Amino acid sequence: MNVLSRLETRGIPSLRALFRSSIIKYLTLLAGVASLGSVFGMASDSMYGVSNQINLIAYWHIGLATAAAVALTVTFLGCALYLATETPFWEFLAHSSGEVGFLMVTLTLVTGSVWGKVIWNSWWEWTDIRLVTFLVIWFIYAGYLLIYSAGGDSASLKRITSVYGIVGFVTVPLSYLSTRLWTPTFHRPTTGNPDTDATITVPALLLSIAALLLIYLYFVGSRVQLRELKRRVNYARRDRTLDDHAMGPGQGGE
Amino acid sequence: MEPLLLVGYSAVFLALIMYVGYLRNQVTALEEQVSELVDQ
Repeated sequence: MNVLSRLETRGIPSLRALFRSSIIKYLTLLAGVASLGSVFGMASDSMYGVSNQINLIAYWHIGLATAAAVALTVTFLGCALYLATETPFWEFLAHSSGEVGFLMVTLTLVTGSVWGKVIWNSWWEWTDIRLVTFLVIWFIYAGYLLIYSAGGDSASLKRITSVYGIVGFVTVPLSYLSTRLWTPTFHRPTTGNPDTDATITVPALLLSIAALLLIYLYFVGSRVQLRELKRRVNYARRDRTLDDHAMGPGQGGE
Repeated sequence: MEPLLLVGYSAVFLALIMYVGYLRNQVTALEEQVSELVDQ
């Protein structure tokens, strides 16, 4: 059994079971409350040598950016799997994840802008490579959602959208690596960089990332389930219409 | 509390609640389609 058929026979049912599970809903609620409790109760509001309450936005700003990166990676994988197998589930997963990912990217930009207004005294900095590449991601995925919504049931447009989803993903690792590839104005690389001391409270950050990943999972699970139900309803309506036509006028229904 | 901190977190929660509302609208539309199908 190759990897693709294993994904079809085992992966899809496992993902459906995960999306149906009510544990996700309760875990999301629990992690959300715990995250907010830790951010406002124990997290340090001193970062990069600046002490200000606005630094507390960083915990959800980083969590949102992480969840957005995961969401867009899932979109990429969903698009690739749809192109390889043409199974509608992968297309639903790719689009749902792209939709939630777009929401997360938007909120990352909003929270970053609010943070920057206090710390940098500027809502936006065109000179910062991370900000600009993240805005490019926002435009790329806005385009993805627009093309998808314009496609309707057209199989060829679904394939074109999937190719776009794969090519557009290049911007995600590019944005992550941008602060290492080019000279950043404000966003300095923090992971593995001994010169930067972010002094972030790690447990609060991990809880926030977990909460936002669970929110992402809950939203995507709900959206995929909705898309699958809608597809079944559309098939049932089409079958009913065909039956009515086959029976002839005046004989359909009771 | 820093007013912009409140603005930032409020914007996040508002957007998340709006997305839940959007999902609920989709559920309502689907329920209507199912009941139409059952009534036919």
